[in-house]
Amino acid sequence: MKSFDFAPLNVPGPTKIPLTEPFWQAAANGELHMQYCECCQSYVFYPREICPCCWSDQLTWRQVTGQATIKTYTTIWKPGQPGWSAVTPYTVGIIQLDEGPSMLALLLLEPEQLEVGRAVCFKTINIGGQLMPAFTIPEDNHHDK
Amino acid sequence: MSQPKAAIIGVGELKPCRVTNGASTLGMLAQASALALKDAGIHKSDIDGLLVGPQVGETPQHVPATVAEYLGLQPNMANVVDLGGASGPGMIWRAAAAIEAGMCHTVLCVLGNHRNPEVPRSPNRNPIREFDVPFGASGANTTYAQLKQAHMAAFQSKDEDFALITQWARHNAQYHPHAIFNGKPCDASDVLQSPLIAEPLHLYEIVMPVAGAEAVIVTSVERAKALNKPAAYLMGAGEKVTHRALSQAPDLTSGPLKPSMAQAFKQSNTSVTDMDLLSLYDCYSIMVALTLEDSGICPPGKFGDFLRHNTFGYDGSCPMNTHGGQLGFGQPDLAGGMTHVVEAVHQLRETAYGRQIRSAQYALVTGNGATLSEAVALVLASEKVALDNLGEGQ
Ligand SMILES: [Zn+2]
Repeated sequence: MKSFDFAPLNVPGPTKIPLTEPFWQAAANGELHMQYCECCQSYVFYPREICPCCWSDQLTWRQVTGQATIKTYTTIWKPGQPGWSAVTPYTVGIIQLDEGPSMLALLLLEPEQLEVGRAVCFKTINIGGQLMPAFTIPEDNHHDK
Repeated sequence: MSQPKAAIIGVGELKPCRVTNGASTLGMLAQASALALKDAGIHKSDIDGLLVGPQVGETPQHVPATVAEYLGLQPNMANVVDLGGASGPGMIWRAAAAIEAGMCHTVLCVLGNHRNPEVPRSPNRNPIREFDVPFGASGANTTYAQLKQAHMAAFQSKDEDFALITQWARHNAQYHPHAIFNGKPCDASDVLQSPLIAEPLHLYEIVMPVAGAEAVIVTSVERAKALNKPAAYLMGAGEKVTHRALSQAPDLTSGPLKPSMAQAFKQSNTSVTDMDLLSLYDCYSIMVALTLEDSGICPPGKFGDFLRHNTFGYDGSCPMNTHGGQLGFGQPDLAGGMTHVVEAVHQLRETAYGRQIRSAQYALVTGNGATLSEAVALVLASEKVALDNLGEGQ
């Protein structure tokens, strides 16, 4: 298994706000949490003040399974943010969680493992000192701490 | 028959260049505006409406007043149109709507940007910045690479199919003296041999950023008829905004241009096969593929076959982006979307010297912004068609 070491990167971290703090806190603890709308019973990503589906403010935080499917991906050779040049080529993609929402994520798969429709799972990695969510093959479930 | 909604009576365009040294956006907008005014053959005092784009780094707020003051205008209607690459086409129907609403009668629509060595970046704190950028997903290349990948996975489309889009853009650029790739044709194999930037996108499938500016003057049908030179006429328009970040897109193999084009065709009582020119927003090869399929000119997933069975030069079976598109002309920032309007006007007025489509009557213009998320489609017509529809042609 190729090891991905993003810890030394000097790149922009997340611009957290109080509303989004539970997402980042959970990720740092090796868990993936999402908002859930108690009104229309749907998961919401990214975190919002109201549900984008029904405009209810009855949003609570729930842990999700972290099981997801790759919708698409790209392997980046020339990053838009120069700080990422140290780890090229790296892969990002859009994954759809089994609970419904889609999100952009770093994909920690070997080139031959990359495939639209492939099942992946959540793991926590260290990017530039921040513990962040990423997705990988189900066998690789060790969280960075 | 559908009635023309407004007329485009003047266009102005600066020759794109890779680098400027100290040029201001305001100065470039002014130069393009003066060219459009001269082309229209009207006086500055005739302009009473102004539409501009955002100007990151130079004028974050109060953009219309800043541009109006610089140009010595005191418009009765002024606004910012902030739809990325769809801003240019988005200005055209907004100008028509403002004229129809009685707010003004003649609108200057102008976009452009310099490329000075220092690139201004506005600090931001929004969902894209929080949930995309920290994962190494900065910029449009990442987005459109993922869209190309999604298309290849869904339809087994091939790199060779996408490379034809650049090949035709570069071919057409040879007939536009302003195009950044004039004198630099390339074929599909050159595209496939160019470096991978964001897999599966190669360098030559990505627009070249350039400095430039484009200005368009829109007026009422009545005023256009009174001028002694032909205009191009707005017959229909459609617009749709679906999301901002690609992860929130409702679909990865079809975009908001689909309903936008459908509405523009409906308003103009036309279909895509009536179009003599496809002036399709082409920030990346994949954008043209998706737009062709969303237009209905070929089935989903079949753009490659369509490209192989047609020719796309001004004298071809399906003239498309006869100015080279942005892949051949260059992308002057937000003005890139307006190049597709300007070329359509030239073709419909028969002022596309050296690349004139024979008796062009209808043109489809598309604009696309952000992450396949902001869409505008226009159907433009020649003066003959527009005035025939008014019941006043011969
Ligand atoms: Zn809800």
